[in-house]
Amino acid sequence: MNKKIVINTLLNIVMGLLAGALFLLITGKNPITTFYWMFYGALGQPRFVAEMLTRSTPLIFTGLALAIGFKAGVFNIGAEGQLLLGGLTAALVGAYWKIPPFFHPAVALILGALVGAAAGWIPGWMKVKKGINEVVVTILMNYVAIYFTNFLVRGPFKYGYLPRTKPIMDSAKLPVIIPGTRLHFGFVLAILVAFFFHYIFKKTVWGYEFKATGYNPFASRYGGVNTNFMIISSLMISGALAGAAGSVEILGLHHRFYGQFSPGYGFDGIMVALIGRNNPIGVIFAAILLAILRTGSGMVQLKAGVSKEIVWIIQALIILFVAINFSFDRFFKKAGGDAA
Amino acid sequence: MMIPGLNMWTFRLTLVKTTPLLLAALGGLHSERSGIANIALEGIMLTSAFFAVVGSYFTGSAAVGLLVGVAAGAFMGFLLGFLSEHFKGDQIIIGVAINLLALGLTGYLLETIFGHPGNTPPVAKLPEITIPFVDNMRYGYLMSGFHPLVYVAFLLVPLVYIEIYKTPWGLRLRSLGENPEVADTLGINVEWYRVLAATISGVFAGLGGVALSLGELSLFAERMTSGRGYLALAALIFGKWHPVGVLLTTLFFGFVDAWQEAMQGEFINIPSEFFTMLPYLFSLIVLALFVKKMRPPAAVGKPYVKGRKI
Repeated sequence: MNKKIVINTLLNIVMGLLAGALFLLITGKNPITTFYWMFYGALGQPRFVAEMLTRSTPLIFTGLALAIGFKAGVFNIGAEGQLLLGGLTAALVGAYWKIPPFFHPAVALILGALVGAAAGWIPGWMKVKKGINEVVVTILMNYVAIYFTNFLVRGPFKYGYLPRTKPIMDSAKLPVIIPGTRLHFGFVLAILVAFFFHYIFKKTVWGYEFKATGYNPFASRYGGVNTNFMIISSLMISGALAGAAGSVEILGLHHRFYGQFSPGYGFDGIMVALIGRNNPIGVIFAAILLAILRTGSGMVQLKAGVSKEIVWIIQALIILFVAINFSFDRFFKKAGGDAA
Repeated sequence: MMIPGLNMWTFRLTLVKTTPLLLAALGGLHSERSGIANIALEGIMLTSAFFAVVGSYFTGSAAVGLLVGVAAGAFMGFLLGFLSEHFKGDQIIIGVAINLLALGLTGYLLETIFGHPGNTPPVAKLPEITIPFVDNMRYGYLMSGFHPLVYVAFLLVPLVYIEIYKTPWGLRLRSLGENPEVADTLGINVEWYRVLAATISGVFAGLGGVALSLGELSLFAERMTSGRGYLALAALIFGKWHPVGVLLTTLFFGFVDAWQEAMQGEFINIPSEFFTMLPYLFSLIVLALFVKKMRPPAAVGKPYVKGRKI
């Protein structure tokens, strides 16, 4: 990532936070105490930091899922649905299929990712064959996946009195890496996967063709790249990563599937990818930023007396600044009369 | 053979369920025809639904609520147009940001104004209008006794058709979405026409949101639009960006939605999610099977920069 993009992104984040502060002032709340408790709740104590990193884990996966789509020029809003389908698959494999330890979480994770990939194939096929924008297809698929998984845990796979699946076996659980916290091995996996894709995009022909498809599909096709294949495979990889996000959450944290286990991590992936500028390493930092806001929001509600929904507003404002690629020199050039 | 859940009341409910979708899709038609992709319909509807309830709550008048709601929708539409055209940002991402903003704003203000999350207390809703004579006819209940926005939505279809295809303004709008350079050479201010079109889409989608919160219901619940904006966008695409096509596709979605509600009532031992899933599943199947290669307005999604080839 070049230096200018990093500085620009940091500026966008600061602008988003400042606009959020302004909004708090307008609604009669104290922005300083709000932000103090937000950062304290996420970073103030070692166990808060561990909790924050736990929350960043699915965000890194879904952020990568979206970033990889964006790189190839496709927008996979369906990550949330793929995450739910992958998570449910992992939960079922973990609960009903007896496999020796070590292999058990691996099989559950791989199958969860494969289901996500299969769900990603559908919008890819429809985009290539029918010319239907993947945004609409993946959004509709999200609703199908949300209601379908909820139907399954309230119907066929319900275990006990509450609408949730049978708990997974101990052999299927991802280990906790810091005793006394919830931080599990999934976080390490997330970091490894991010570096893996960083390497792919930097060093391989496939990674190059992938990015080329995103920059200019016509030129790439002329240059001999099978762009249709690239579009379908990018959505499948994106789906696999989203499926892995759900699987890791189930295997490392929740240990069973229930309808509300994801507070929208798939949608959050959009923000993570945008703030991380589609760079796998940038995604790690963006996921941590979002995790800080989220983890701190509980403390904000408790101590500052501000609705924790404020973090949604702040996130949206950051995204708006990133979307218009706000930078001071551009802004003042505009204000001083259009030179072009 | 009797098909479960299929009776005259389902058809009546179809018209009520179609209304918000139709209004939002006709709104999206304006912005997309002018070249601005409108994924923000969802957020616009949600914002309008909320502010309509706020307006009605503080004044006790549903009419004031309607105006406040539509004004909020117009503002969100303006925001989409302005940020897309003035800053040349990615329209899909701006749309996503607006949807997020709508979620946060309505959730935050709901808790701040009404003191608790979840939903607002009931407020004054739009009156039901019975049409004299029609009401007493056989099947009269399919044409009478709805809240006013149902009539407005269906009346808007021919009006929008005339607007888009028979007026100079409509011709300009279409040219902006197909070939903005030509429009620019003819002296049309591309930026401001598009901002205006996006604002109009906000007004329409805003009416759709009000139809939900003050028409179908009389309160606001968190995330109450639950994807209707996206369904409206899908309907706009199936309907080939044409008012009559949009009418047919939103009627189809409205019917599936009404039908699944009736089925929920008939099969109470099947989890309701199964039926709730159906409108989305059906629209996917329709997309996969019956849609031929799509051709959206050529310049949709691309901000116009003078002198730059697109």
